[in-house]
Amino acid sequence: MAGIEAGKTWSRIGAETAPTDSAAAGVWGDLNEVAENVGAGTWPAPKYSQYEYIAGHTFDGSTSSYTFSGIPQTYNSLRLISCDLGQSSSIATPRLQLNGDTGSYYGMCWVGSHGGSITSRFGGYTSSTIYSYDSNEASTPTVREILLDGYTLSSMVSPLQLQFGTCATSGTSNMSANGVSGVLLNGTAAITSLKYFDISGYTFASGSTISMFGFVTP
Amino acid sequence: MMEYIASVQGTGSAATLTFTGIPNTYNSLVMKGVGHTTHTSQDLAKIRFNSDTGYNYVSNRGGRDGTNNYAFQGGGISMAPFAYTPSASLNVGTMLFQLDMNIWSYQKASTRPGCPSFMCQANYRHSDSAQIGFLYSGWYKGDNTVDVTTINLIMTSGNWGSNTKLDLYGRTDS
Repeated sequence: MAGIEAGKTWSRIGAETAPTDSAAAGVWGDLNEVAENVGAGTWPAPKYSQYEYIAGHTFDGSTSSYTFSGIPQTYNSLRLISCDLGQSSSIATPRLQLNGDTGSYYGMCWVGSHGGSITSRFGGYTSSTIYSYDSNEASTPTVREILLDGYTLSSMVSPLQLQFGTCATSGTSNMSANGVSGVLLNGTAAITSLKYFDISGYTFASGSTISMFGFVTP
Repeated sequence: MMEYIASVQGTGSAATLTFTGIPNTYNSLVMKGVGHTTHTSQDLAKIRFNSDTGYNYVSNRGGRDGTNNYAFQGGGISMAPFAYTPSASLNVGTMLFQLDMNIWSYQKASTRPGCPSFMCQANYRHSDSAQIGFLYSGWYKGDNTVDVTTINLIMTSGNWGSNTKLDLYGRTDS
């Protein structure tokens, strides 16, 4: 793209006044001057908002839980994505716990369908975990998205959203789509840790993953 | 990619929060955040476009409340519901609802055919024995010869609590 040309509308960028020995004020000489301005911290922040990777874990087939601890309190919201691979012998039921709280303080509401039937259940449930489940077909994925807005507020109770779907390769009976609303009702602390685990102790199949992202807002 | 546009913050003394001057350059909009009411019982949050108070909205919402399934719809209403807030038994002062909303076709019809519409999920604890998980959708069938440049968020009975913060983003690529 061409720079300043005769007759072309132009404007200054940034607040810096360029060296004035022999140049017009406000005109950037080269990219080094732009970099100098960025380095001085005077350059405007990026205007795009996006999810930034925080941490993740890939299961090796020998463990049944993973905990995100010390969750940074600097993001606007959190998003977790998991992809579990089913095991042929059992249906894993991955659960969530927040802030290490193992008491029966979790409220939950679940709506969805499984194998062609409505599975609206667990509404009003108070439990020691927030529920979900996996496909029971070997190497078949279950994908989960967990959203936490307002997780940094220490004076408010902040619900979370969980959506997940289970796949099937040999028919449709194991296919499902689900939405879960969950909340920890034991105080109003900010959420600093999240445990993802199977309550029956089934191990997550090798290659299963869970990742946490933080939403960055300028 | 999402580009941050603006935020609105509750104060405890205003029943309406408003985004103004929304650019018409995005493919769609996203509103994210948390909210709560100052009302002493369950409250309903509603949305309007371009401050149009006419009966130009259509709404559908449904899901699970405790052990019951619910579905509601309304046509020709003056604003569209998008979230419930908790009842008094759960201490409305400390319980947030969580919101993730998509808004489509917010430009005038000659730019993007169809009427402005939204869909969102909003969750919260309803009572000592009931959690709510609802999906909401709504359409604005008013004047679509102009862009939507203003969005009004209205708490029906109380005011927006001071920990309410909703952020508006524009999608540049979807």
